[in-house]
Amino acid sequence: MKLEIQNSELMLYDFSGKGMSFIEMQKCYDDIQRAVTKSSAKSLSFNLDNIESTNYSFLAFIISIGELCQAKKVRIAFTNIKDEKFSDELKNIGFDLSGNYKAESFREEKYFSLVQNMDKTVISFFENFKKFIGFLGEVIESVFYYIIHPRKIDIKEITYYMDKSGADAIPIVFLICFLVGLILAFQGIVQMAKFGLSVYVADLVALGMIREMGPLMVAVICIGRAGSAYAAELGTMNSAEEIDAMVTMGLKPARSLVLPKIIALSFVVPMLVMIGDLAGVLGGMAISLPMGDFTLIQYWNRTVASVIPANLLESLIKGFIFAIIIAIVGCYRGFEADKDAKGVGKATTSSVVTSIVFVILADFFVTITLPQLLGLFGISY
Amino acid sequence: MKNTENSKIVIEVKDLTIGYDDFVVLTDLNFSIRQGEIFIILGGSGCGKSTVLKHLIGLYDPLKGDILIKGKSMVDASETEKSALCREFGVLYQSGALFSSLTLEENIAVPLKEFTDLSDNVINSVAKLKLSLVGLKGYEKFFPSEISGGMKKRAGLARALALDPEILFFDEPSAGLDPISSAELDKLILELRDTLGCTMVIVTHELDSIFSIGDNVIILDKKIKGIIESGDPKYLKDNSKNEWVREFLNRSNMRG
Repeated sequence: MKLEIQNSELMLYDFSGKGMSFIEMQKCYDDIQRAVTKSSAKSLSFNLDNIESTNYSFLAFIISIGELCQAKKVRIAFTNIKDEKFSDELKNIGFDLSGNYKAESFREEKYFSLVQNMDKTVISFFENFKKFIGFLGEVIESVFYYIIHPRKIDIKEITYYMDKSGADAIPIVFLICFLVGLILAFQGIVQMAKFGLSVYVADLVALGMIREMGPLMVAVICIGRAGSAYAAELGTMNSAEEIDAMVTMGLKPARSLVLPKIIALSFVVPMLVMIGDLAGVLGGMAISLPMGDFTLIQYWNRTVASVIPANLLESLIKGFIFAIIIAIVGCYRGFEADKDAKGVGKATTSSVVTSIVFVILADFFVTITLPQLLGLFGISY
Repeated sequence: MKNTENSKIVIEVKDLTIGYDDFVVLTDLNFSIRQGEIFIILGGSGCGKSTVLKHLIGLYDPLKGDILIKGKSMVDASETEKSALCREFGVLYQSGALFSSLTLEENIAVPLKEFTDLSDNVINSVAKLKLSLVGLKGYEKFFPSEISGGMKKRAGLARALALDPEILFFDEPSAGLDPISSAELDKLILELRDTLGCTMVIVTHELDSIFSIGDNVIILDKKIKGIIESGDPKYLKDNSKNEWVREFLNRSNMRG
């Protein structure tokens, strides 16, 4: 390529006949950019007499020059075009006869307007809500079906998920809850020691773990392990047409795919919560004994004195409710997943986020209402 | 080819308009399928062949019109009625759609366990028989991930046959198969039709299959959003009034 400046006009000519590679293109572009910036040229003449065929790098080069000239307000004139097709291509990519280049002719920008899209957002929210209610209805119908036909319950499937979502989670639940108990005790003992009440750290850890942190930490672990796995599993089944196959076989996917998971998780999560509570108390003990001025027996006695059966009941109820939320949300997100790889990933992520939100909301309501509810049954709290 | 002209109609499609939300894919489709017939749904890419199939099997609700399976409406059916109608037919999906966590035997046992009170031993024997019917004897304990694409389709077919349906739907059965496996599958479809007397509805692109097994064909067109031609594929190949149809159907000769 050669570049000359004559009477405030940039002359480009002597291109190689077979277009150019991307590397050559970059070099030529740099030369032209320098010339356009430094000179006061108002037009650029492109002599294409050597060009017999074009490749994509040459078209990319011309588009880049077009964008450069548009920005610098330099007109472009193509001369000696031999190929008619090439002339048409130039029009297609945005050059007109008067030497102007309009990139916007083939690049449409999409503007997002919150107000314009409000209607769609509201409609899709209610549509999703309707779908979710429908799904919930199917699940409830399945519960009644299994109450009427208990022999149809697939015990093998339930035990499989109990094993995967429950037994396999014991080590991680123990570790996490042990550490949370330890952190809770460490934070508490420093403050309580100031008032000479360091032995009461046992109350703090026991009540904190059993009433709140135990169920919550187990729920978070199960959301990550079980809920997301359910969403991914059902999402993949959905994309592989397995769920369609079930529907056309006259089977109810909610019955055979969702209910075993809900039953399995609602059994194992309360058990995991008990393990987590115990691990938390042990964790608290592990840090309090070396730091505090009390014995193991004193610590244990304080723990036993502070916890009443209703606290353990609260822990179990929370575990049970969280399990149902995690299983339902995970399965629903899996069913609603788009039938592609991206859809499965999205379903997994949204199952985790939605589960966390609902679990915390449920935790709030249970914590607030449970003492009153238990009071109705004559259980003091 | 089997003469099915005097057989009774098992599937009837009346003024069917299908699409997604506001987007109409095909409009005012009318056709009927007779018992024992191998009925082909054909058309260019993106014309809505698979969408028609998904409506026929009740996965989607149409925008307008009705689908009658053995005289019962699929569109107006309640969930329970739809579930009962679904048991009248089997479907072979493009990918086979086998349950990946179950062995081939267990896959076939799923509908049997759900809809019959047969003992586990009887169900296992039936599953083995169905697998040997499609040439998969000895593969009972294999998982879908351990067998080839062609075998998955055969296993999918065995599962579709589990409840001895009178109608079988196939979504692109030859897709992704080599010519020999594809021809073997065609042979199997013919054998099943002759031995079991099933009605087959096949969505396919494979022109060789259409001419070797198809009794009747409808050709869908994206531009007119409807049926451009219908009838016996061998007759239409040379005698269709539509030039595009003749060209489409004669492509098979070009491959020698």
